[in-house]
Amino acid sequence: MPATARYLLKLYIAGHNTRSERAIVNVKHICEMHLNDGYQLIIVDVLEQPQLAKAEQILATPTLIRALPPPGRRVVGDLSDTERVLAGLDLPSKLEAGPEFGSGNT
Amino acid sequence: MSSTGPRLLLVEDNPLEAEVVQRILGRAEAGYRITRTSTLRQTLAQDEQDFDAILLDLVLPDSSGMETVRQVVARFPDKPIVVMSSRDEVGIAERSLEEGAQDYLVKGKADWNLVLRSLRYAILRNQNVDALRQREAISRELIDRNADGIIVLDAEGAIRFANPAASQLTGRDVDDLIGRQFGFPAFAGGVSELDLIHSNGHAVLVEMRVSSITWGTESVLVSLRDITERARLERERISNTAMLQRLADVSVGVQACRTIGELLEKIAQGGCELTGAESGLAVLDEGAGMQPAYGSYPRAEAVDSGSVDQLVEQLRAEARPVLGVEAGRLVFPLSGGERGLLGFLRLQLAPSTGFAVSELRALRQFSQVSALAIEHIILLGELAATGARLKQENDQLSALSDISTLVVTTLDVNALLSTAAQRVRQALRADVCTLLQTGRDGTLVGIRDRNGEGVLSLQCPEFPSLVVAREVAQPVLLNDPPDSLQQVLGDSIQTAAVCRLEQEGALLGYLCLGWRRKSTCGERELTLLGAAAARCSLGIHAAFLRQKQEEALESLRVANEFTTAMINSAPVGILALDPAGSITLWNVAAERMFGWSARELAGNLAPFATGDAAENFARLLARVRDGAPVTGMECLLSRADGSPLYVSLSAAPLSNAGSQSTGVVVMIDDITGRQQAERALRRSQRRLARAHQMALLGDWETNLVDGQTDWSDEVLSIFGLPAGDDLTSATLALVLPEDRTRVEHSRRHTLATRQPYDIEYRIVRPDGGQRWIREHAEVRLSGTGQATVLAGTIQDVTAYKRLEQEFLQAQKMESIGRLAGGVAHDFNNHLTVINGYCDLLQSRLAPDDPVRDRILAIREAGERATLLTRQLLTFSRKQVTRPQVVALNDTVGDLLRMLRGLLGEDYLIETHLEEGLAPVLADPGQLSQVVMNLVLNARDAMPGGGRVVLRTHSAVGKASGQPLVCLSVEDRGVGLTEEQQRRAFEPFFTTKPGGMGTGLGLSTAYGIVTAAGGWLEIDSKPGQGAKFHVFLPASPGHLAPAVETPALELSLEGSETILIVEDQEGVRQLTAEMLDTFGYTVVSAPDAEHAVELLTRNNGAIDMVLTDIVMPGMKGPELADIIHERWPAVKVGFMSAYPEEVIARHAPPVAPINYLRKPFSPEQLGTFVRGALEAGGKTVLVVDDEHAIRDFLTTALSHHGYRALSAADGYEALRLAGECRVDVLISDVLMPGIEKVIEIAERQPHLQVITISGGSGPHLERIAAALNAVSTLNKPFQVAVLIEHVRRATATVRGE
Repeated sequence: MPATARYLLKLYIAGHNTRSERAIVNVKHICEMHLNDGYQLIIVDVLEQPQLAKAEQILATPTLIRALPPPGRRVVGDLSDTERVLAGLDLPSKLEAGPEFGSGNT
Repeated sequence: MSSTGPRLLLVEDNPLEAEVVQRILGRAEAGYRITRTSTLRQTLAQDEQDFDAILLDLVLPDSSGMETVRQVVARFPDKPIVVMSSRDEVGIAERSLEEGAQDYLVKGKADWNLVLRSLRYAILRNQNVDALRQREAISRELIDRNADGIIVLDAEGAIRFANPAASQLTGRDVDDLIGRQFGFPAFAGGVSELDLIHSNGHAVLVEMRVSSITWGTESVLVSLRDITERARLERERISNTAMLQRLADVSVGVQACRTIGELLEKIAQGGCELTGAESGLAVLDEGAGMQPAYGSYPRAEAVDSGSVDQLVEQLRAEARPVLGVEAGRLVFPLSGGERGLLGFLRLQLAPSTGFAVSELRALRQFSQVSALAIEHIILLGELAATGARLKQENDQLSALSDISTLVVTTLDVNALLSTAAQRVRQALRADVCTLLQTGRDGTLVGIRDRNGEGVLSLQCPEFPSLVVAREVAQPVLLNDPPDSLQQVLGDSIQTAAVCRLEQEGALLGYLCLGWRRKSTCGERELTLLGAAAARCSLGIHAAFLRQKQEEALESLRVANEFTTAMINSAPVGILALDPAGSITLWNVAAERMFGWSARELAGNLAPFATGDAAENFARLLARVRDGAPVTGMECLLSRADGSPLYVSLSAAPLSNAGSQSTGVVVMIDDITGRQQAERALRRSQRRLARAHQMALLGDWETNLVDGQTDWSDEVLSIFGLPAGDDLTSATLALVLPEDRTRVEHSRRHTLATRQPYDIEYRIVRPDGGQRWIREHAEVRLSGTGQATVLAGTIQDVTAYKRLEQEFLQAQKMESIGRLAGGVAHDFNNHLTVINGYCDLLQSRLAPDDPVRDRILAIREAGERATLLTRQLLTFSRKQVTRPQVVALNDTVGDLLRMLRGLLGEDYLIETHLEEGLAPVLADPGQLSQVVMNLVLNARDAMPGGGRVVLRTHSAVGKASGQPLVCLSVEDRGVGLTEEQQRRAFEPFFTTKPGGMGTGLGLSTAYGIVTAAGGWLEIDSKPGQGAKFHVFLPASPGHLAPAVETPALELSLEGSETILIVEDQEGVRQLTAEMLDTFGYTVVSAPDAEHAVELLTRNNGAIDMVLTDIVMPGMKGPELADIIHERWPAVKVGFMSAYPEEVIARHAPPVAPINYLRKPFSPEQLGTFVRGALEAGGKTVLVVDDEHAIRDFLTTALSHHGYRALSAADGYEALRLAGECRVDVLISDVLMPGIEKVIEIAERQPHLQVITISGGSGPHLERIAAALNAVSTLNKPFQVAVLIEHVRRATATVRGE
């Protein structure tokens, strides 16, 4: 996790298919747009690492979890609705972001 | 009782009570239908379908209290129960309600309305709960039985509810699901695909739909539909489509192949691509009619056996026409076309994959496509082989044909042989072809064509060791060629073919071919080689013959060219005619002479003789042919354009070797030029004679041997003499005696020295006319150097002489004009001083001063000089014309005084000026000059004095009707002859004795009048005087107001109040009286103290103080200081009887004090006071390089009360202007440093500039404009004019 990373995000997918790809593309886009460098994204394939999915009690994929900071929050779906993703994970929206995120130095 | 009212089960053991209830409730509006039971047992046995509510008494025979309620509620849990009891206890009521009763009524206490309402509400309430229960049951059923999984999430994404389907989809119990984190749905559009992770670890593809619901809090309803099957079907559909696409793609790839190797590789590759196999092998069976071959994919795959045949054998064994895979291998036969089985395709599959049905289907189709492609290539190959064979044969024939054509068409034997070598090599597909040719010296020269290297030439000293070929008449093929051939054909030749080149048994050379491989050269090719060799032999032989022929021709051509060149370069026309007279030769000179070309005449009869001449010419030819040659006969012939041609003709007969006549050769010389020259000479002589006549030029010639002289007719007409014998003496007699000696001397001198002479002299013709003659003569010598002829020309140059004299006169006047112009400027300066001081002196002198008249005389002389200067400036054309509307009468009137002065006492000027004369448009100065010149002419016409009459009157143009103004000047003088009148306006024409007149007066007048659009007329007869009329067009314009004309006399009068301070009473009195006369108010004081008192008393009323300088007590300058300090507006003027140096002792001034010298005349006093009042201490800076002008101007300005400074040039002026304030600047415009003056004017905008000028012109006007001058003074000017200008300038000092 980079020194500047503030958010640890985990994306759970099931195999490499269009749904997974869409979710990966969408989450990367959202992170780049709204979190600058302040995040780390871990992508977990539940078919390859079922124990991780079990540990996290993943019911459906794609699921995106905000692991840090606590409390943990999660959203499901292809993450195509940025606003819902941001709201669901309680992430700062660039549009509403104050100087803290606007400067990109935090 | 109503049959529709609510049904009531009345549980009451008391019959009376029951009776009351039945009656009341049955009667009520609700219309209850009542069933009654009296025991609990009875009650519990009732069917719940039969009533809607229960009215329950607590105390029954078989039950009592809460037990009753409990039992009934348990039996009829869905029915509303209202308890009615005689016990009024809160505890019982509450417990009843707790047990499930709807209401509790106390018997006797409740009125019946209350009972009715309670019942109604209980029933209604129960009905609602029923409905709700039913709906809830349906919903639950729907949800539980729904195939779609349904979960409800809270705002955090945790599961609040899950249906059995959801449980099934996730492999988890509903209870297990509730409370788990599912995650908040985050996708757009309401539908998304999701993988549910089953508890067994597999993913289940579901379609998720979400909608918001309110379930206590805001929640999300998520429905999950299993779409695994749908997706699978979709995938299969896509896979099939892709398979078809792949099949199409690989089929296209296969069909694009052009070689069998490439095709087999493509087939192997296509099979892999279609099925996903790891490797493929395509084999061509020998049954296909081609050599066995194979192609593999990837290419690197090793073939088990090195032999393709074995491979094919192996595959043939493996191939079975069944579907299925054994050991991961599938072998497919390649067949489908007309040729049956062509080969096999073997695919090796990856260990973990299997075939889909669609893939097998596609593979089968692909194998058919591949088989067709193989067939196609086989066909193409067969076709190409046939084509190549045909082409080769065609090439061979074509080469043979080409060589045949070359033999006929190519003259250059080398080009023929090199091309032949190339074609033979190509046709027989040899690598080298060398064509050896025997030279004349027995050596062989070779031309070699090497494959792709073009044509090389080589020299073979001898054909080395052609033992093999020398005797070979037919072409031979040598599979192991000897070294000799290797040398000829080059290295590494495996096979060679040689053929002799011969013609009529003679060896011409060899044709050798070489192959670097074993040649497949057959019988056919050798025949072809023989045929090609035969053609080459023919070509060489033909070339040999041609060469011989050409050599013979060449020598003939050289001989012929020599003859032709000779004939064509001959200057005379040369022609030959055959016996019939037709032209066979016509050389260049003849073409030039006659204009016919040799080409157009060939075979025709001679065209230059026509008509009779033709017959004569034919006879002449016949004569010549018979052996009588002609030489130099002149005759006239015709040219092509019809013009005649004079010729000298010679002719001689021609004969051949057998002395037989073959015609005539004719030589013709053009003599037309000679004849034309003679005629031209005659014409030239005539022209010369005419020219002499026109130029008044005669010529004569004296034969010095016999003394005879020839005169041309022109000489006679020049001298006005008739033709006679002794013209020499007759002409000499006419020469003026004073010139005659010179003429005789010149002739003698020339005869003696043989030098030509050129003299001018005058003659008087017999008719009395005088002529100027120019005579030129020279001696001509014979071949032996003896003088034989004296020849000369005589020309009448009278007209030239006259012109020359006039020209000289004009030049003289031009010089005088230029001189005068230059002088006039300086002269004006001097006149300014002379006239100016005269004016100043006059004003200072007492009226009865005897000097006054003398000064007046000087002044008048100055005025005349001024006029003369102006005249000079006009002559020198240094005056610019400025036409303006002027009244002629005023011009005449203004001139009169001056004219009278000019004419003197012996002349009387009389004027008759018409009143109301229209104005004219002219330059006033020039108009004055016209009048003056005419008047002066009139004076000169009357040397003894007389009367000059000036008239002005209106006139009307005779032809145009134009209104005119006429001025006439009339005298009674000598008058003019007609000749004189005709020439009166010519420049330099004068009737006055030499030196008296310039001949310019009238011509100047004429010029001025003409320029103004008018003209002059003369009315005169000799001895009867003359009238000159000047006609000018009347101008429609208005007269310019006379603003520029200042009053010649300055006004001395004024109305200001003057304080005189003077200690001498007499002077005080006189001064006061004088000022009083001029209109001033005068107060006086005997000394300065009184003066100050008076000033104080009359505060502001006194305009000027005129004070004596030297007084007892306070001196004038001190008083002035006080006045300047206390009353700055009051002007101060000084007067004194002392000279300046004395005053300087009494009152050392800062600047020289300007004061009035006592005694003074009234005019002097008036001028001084006026000046002091108006000048008011204004400073005028005079800049002029003329010392005299400067002094005069400062004197005149000081005299009028101005403080005057002077500078000799612009630099000094700049310095002065920097030191003190200058109000007016008067500057000359032509002097050093004028640019500095312009600088001053630019720096000090308040400064008023007046320019003074001795002349006029654009240049001067530009300077005046640069100075922003308010006015210009033309030298010379009167003092009054100067002061008037300065006054105006100071009155309008800018910025004040």
